[in-house]
Amino acid sequence: MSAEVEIVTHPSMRGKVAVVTGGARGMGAEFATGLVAQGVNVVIGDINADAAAETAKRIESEAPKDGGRVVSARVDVTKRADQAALAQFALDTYGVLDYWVNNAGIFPQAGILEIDEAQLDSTFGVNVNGVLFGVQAAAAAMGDRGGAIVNMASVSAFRTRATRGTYGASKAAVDHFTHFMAVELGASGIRVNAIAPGFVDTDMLAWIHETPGVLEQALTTVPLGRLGTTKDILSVMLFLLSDSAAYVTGHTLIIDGGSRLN
Amino acid sequence: MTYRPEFRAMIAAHVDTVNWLEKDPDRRQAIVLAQRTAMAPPPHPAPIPVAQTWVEELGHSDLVARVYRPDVEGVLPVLLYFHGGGWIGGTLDVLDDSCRIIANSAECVVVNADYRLAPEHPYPVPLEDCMDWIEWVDRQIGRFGGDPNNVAVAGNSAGGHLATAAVLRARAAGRADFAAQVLVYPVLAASVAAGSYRTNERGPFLSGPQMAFFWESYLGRPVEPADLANPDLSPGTASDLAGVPPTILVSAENDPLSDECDAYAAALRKAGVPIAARRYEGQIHGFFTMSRVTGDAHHATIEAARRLRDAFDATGRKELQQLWDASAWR
Repeated sequence: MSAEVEIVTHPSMRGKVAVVTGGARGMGAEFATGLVAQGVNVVIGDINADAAAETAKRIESEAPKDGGRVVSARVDVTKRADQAALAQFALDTYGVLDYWVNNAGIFPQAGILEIDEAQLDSTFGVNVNGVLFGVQAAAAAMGDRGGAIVNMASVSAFRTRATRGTYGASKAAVDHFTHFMAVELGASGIRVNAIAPGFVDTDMLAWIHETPGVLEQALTTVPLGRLGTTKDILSVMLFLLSDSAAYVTGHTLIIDGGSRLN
Repeated sequence: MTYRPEFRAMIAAHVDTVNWLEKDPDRRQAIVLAQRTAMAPPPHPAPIPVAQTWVEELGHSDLVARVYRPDVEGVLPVLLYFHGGGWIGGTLDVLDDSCRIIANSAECVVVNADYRLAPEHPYPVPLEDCMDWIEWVDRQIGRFGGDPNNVAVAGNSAGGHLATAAVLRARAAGRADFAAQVLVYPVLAASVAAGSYRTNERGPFLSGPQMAFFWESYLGRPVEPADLANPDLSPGTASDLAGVPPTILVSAENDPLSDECDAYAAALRKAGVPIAARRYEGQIHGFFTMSRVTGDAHHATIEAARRLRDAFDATGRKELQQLWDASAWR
């Protein structure tokens, strides 16, 4: 079993401002918490405004003494205007925008012969359009001043499992889109990278615990022999946003314990 | 004395070779020019976006201000900002980031205003220029969608000194009250005798003798005990503080000025003036404009702007103090 991840302090992050979409629950909430702990001021955007507000309140109350602030706002990431308004909300609240995490995503399952219009539209709407609109909003608010963006891809962009076609294709689009974003925004000093988590223990992976044997079966494909934790992903997300990754752009970092190789 | 880790290497390499006690006028002027160069901001990233900016002339002596307006509809409150630089240096560029952040997050029109510098223009010229900017705001700010009845002033270091002194002068002249003053490690007392001058005698970044040099450049002579009774020069030691506007005060632990900041905060509290004060531990004089070096720069700007917004919205002084007390300044 591999060691537990170590979260390091990134001095360059203190005082910066970040937006995390889909930040009310799961990985997004972990990101917001981890950013606040680094002294980053955070805006949690989520389609569920009440859950976002509750999460912001909880993070604020549990934050360390020198942590950042956290506020929340409703956003439907499939709406371009919503994302622009979210970026403006970050500017109105904190005055500046440095980081943006396109975390909001959905995870549908259906066989190739069963995928319908609704599934395609909703999945690509959130997972692909949502990432693009987020990058557009972030870049406008960052101007030519620079910044860092992390998109959520998935190991499903690189490995093939039945019933994950829509999801995998949407995340492959995120991976590829990230290259173009990095190329076009580089001149403004904006770095755009993606992370591709494997099996991470969040609400989205509840299904893996529901049927006896599924977890064990899944783990046989993970060379490091365990599920990922949200902190495993957080650690890399912080690295990519921070100046530790100052020369890294257009890269998708796979965080899967090696599962893509099996 | 401890320093934030981001400064340790710089401090280890720091050697002060300036003779701050120099009396020869030509050599003093050479020091002034070198200081102006040293105070220039580092290569600047592109500006933080705001909705609109203008460059406006005061109408005399070639002085200009930059006016920033955030992406907010309607008539907005106003912040008039004076940069620091020991009265002898500093430019609008140094405060450009800070003013843009404040405009966006406090949702106000910010006027980043220049004033003439000592020793070529000693006291009271810089202060009178600041008074002229106050009058300019009162008359002109409507053109930029600013509310002349909801104006705050701000400044860092010598700019904080000028802001505080200008507020007292305006009050004495019968101007309506300001909504707030935002003071970042301001010079508040015309004295170089405080304990923090001793503990920061060798700096770095601002040393006790360097501050004494600035005073002498501003006044054309060393400070005298009588200066402590002159509100133009010692606005922090004024006998009547009851009419001072709500005050947002940022100070640094390792700063010759930390004692006068602490004393002012205590005096305002005693006088019942709403105050939100934060002393940044491990920090140095000047950190507020060192955003490339220390995250506390934007941290302090964002936290101060938050409280400025509270002050603009406040319905009463008591309510404002309660609001400020309820929210920890992290």
